[in-house]
Amino acid sequence: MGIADIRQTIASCKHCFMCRHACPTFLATKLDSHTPRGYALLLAEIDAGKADWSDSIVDRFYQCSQCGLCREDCAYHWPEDELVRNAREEIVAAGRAPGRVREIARAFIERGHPENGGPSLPETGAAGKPNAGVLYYAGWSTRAYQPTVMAAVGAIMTKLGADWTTMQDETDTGLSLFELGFTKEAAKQAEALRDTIASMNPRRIVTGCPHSLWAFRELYGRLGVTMPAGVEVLHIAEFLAEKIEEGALKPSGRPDLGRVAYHDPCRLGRSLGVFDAPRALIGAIGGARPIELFHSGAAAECCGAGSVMFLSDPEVSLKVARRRLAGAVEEGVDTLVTACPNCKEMLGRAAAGTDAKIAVIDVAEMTARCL
Amino acid sequence: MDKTSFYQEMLRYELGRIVGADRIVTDEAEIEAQSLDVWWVTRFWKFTDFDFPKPWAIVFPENTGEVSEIVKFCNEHRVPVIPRGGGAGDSGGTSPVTGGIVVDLKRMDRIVQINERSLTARVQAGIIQKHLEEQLNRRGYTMNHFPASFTTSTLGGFISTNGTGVLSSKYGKMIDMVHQLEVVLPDGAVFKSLPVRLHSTGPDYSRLFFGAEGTLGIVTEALCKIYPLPEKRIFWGFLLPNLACGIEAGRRIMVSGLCPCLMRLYDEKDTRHIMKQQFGIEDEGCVMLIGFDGVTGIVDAQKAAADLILRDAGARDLGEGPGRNWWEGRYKSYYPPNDYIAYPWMTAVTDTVAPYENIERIYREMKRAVEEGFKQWDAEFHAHFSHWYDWGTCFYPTFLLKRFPDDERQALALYNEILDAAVTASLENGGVVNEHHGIGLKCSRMMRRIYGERYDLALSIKRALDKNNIMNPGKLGLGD
Repeated sequence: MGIADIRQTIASCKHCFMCRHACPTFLATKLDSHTPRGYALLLAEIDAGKADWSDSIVDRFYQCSQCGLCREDCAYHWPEDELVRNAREEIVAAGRAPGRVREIARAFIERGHPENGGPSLPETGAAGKPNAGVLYYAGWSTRAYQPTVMAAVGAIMTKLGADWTTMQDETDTGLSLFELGFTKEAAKQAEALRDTIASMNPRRIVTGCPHSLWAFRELYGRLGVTMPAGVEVLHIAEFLAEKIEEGALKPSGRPDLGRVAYHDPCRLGRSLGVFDAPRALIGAIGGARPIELFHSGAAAECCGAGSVMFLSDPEVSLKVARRRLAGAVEEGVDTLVTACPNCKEMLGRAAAGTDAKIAVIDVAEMTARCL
Repeated sequence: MDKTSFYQEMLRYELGRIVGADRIVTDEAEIEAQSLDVWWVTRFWKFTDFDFPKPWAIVFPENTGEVSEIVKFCNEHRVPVIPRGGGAGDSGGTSPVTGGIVVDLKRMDRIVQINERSLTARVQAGIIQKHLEEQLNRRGYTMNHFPASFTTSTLGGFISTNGTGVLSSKYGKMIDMVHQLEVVLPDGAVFKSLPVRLHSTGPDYSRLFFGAEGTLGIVTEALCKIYPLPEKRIFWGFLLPNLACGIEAGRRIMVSGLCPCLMRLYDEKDTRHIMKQQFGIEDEGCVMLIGFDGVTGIVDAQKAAADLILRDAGARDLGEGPGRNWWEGRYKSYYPPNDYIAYPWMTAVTDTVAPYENIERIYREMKRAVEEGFKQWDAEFHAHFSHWYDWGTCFYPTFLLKRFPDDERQALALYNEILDAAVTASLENGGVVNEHHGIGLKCSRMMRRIYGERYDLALSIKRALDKNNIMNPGKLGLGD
């Protein structure tokens, strides 16, 4: 818990500069206090009682998307992203979390999601149906920001004739609270969601949100939350690639996407190793696999949305997103396909502020265009 | 809210008028995060009870005009200016020992122009070398500058320490890699050297700024040499009977007109401790790694010629593995847990360059001065010879103490004694310290001893250019 669990990483990273070149937040701000080395130095000083959680130090720890590119870049893969996650636990325990972070956390705890007025949920299927073949777990940010993605999933499920359902009162997986440093509350939220899933008894869970996928596949084990036995959890890209492979889903024609690139969401690619399914899907739908951005696959740069930074610090988040989008524009990309509602949201916001002629779409939206 | 002073707020206001308030940083988080380089003394300072130097503010300019305005303001108000690139030096060169402002150049990271006919790249000085190399590689070019801090240090930092990369035996030091420099002088004027350096239109004044460590101005832009990516690049390993044989073989390779891009000769201690671990080599002797690059036919011919020289020196061919493995993992030893700096050990490098007639003697005397002079502390000394020329070579020694006095003052005094002993051994035998790590604070106090009375020239130049002594005070022995 907190600093106590990461002292070895602090001791190692506080002297090491090697991953600085890779950190997407550093590249957007050029501040050393946004790098793993900076974080480790600050934590070493705090652990030694030589510094306290001043406003600027706390702010920096909430300006990291925990995208894990530092860990990936490191020759020995030190868990550098844990410097930030564990520091946040310490900050929360010390009662020093910034006001905006406390507000976001309160919304997750009280409502299950942070959006005032509740998620806007288009009717995409019979909600709350027990024993369905597929439970589509949209995730709070898809519901709030990407209703077109949900509509696309609905159209695909209908076309497939799938036995599917959604949740009536979908709450977050607990991952957002976990990433913000509210670990106990995260575990409680995870348990409640697990119970809801168990009560619905689906055979499979399909989600378009890599953060939710990572929570189900990885985080729940760490939190001691056991998913119902026998329930398979898939990303929508994996699900759709499977349906195309089986012949259950046959694209009718090709969407006009121009030069297509794929942006790897951090949690789907780097964290879970799902690189090929979205590319295969793009290949099947578009007729050719996407071009690779200069930083792609495990080395893909973050869009700035991770660890709900797009809520906790939208300004820094947007700076990171602009850099990522600029990389795609530089490659002459017409359509940037991604597989995460948060990536789509941030890259879309970045595109909206420029003259760039680039469309950002989700894999489900791309698929729905040629049903 | 972070504590701030009236003076900091005035700086924020005045400098903010030049670059915008969002590019002036006075907060504790960034000042702490920028505080350390990789020198043992700064790390020791930081984590003991010594007072640690901090700047009053950090400013992030984006172009030469802004740098000029910042320096003019500082000159007028006698505010010390510490230029900073990656801040990853080995000698405290960016430590703000008298306060002042840090001018952090990392937002000046644009490649302004690439000329594919003359093979040049005009680049802002704050670019991280890895980013520059990546962009060049995407266009089929390379700068061939691969120092240990490749992933983190900036072009301007390399110029300001006259740094060296691992392929320097063919591609040279920074001074060989740059055609033209743009520098903001201590009064804020912008100096641009002539478009080429090989001229006889008066002295090449740009030479003043290679290795000046920001004491004479701020390097803001450079016109760099670039090369097409090599058609072929090979690496090979050999085991030589001893160090003397290795140095002589290296000398013969260099004076015979061969041009290895890489040549690294490890002393017996390095060979035992490092090469065994990394490559499973058990035999005694000295490992030499050698590499050639360029057009295939020339690479193969050079390799064959070097083979003959090495065979004649009694070398055993270890094949491609050791050299290839070293090249592919060349940065791995700088990551924790392998890097010395990850441990609470006392270390320093005293890289020395000298002509061939002196180099082995300097190595032996330096090793003796450290290991025998500080036997009671089990001082260790090991080195590799890594930058070769047709007149001499450089060796890169490290001294290491795994235990030292608990008392902070005694520990620091011991560090300085060992450093003095090592540098003295080099100087007395015709060597020059340092070859590529720079002087900074580490050897600042020794500059008059290194140069003698001749150092008055350096002081005269400093006074002429920097009347108010605002540029990186305390470094290079040029006064506080």
